[in-house]
Amino acid sequence: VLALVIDDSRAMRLIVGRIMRSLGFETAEAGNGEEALEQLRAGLLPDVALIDWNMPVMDGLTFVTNVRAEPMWRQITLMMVTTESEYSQIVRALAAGAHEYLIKPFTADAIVEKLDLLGVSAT
Amino acid sequence: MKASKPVILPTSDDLELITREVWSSFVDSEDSDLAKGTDAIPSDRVTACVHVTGGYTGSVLLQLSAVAARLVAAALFQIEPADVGDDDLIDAAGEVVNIVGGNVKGILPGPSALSLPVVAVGEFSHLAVPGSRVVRDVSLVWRGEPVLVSLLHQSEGTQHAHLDR
Repeated sequence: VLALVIDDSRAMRLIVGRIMRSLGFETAEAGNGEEALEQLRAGLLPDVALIDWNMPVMDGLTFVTNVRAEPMWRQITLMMVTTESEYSQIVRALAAGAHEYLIKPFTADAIVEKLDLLGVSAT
Repeated sequence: MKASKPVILPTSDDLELITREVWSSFVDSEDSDLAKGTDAIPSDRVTACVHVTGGYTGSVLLQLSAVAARLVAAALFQIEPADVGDDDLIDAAGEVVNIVGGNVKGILPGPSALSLPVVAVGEFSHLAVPGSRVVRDVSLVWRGEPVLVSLLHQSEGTQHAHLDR
């Protein structure tokens, strides 16, 4: 089961990736939405994507919108993992097609809880 | 005449609470080490900043001694402090101020947008935000090293913020 971690911060990719691997997921990484889209176009099909909002080149909201516009990628579960905590931003992300929303800072338990809510597991 | 709405700003305690949450989640689970402090940030420092625009216009700054910044980066990347490079310092300080700034933005008047972080590293590195002044700050000490978090407000006619402490 593959998790794609999309964040412009290497430190955050490392932290989220480590948590996901500890839960039994395989992981792939992208430094922004455009890089992530290129990986999807090249054939990568993650089960879940954990997406930062504020990134250079292409932000997380634009990535979500692009993924949701492509039927081939409909099965990917999209979870925003971001510092954006304004209610209006959360609504925008969910309206664009994100399934869940996790606000930084978070704990490993919070990721587990959100994945449980989404019915996503590594087994 | 229409009365202007009062702007409710986060308190210094709010800044401290948010910083503590970031520290306990990602930097140091024993965040009891993070205490109120009064030490000035030395000239060899790392300064990281994000800008908020919209319902509130200003910036959130994180200033750390170079030693503290190295320890933060080492903790985030889970490497030895001696192995931390400039790219690691920039990434770590940028992400910490991004998270602190995003959470501060959440309690500022909105809606507003958060910029990507800007980070200055090095001896006498000085970051000026034209037209801004410090409206809240909190001085902390972590592992004996100073950490300063500041909220700036930008308005017309304001002098440059003096960020050196």
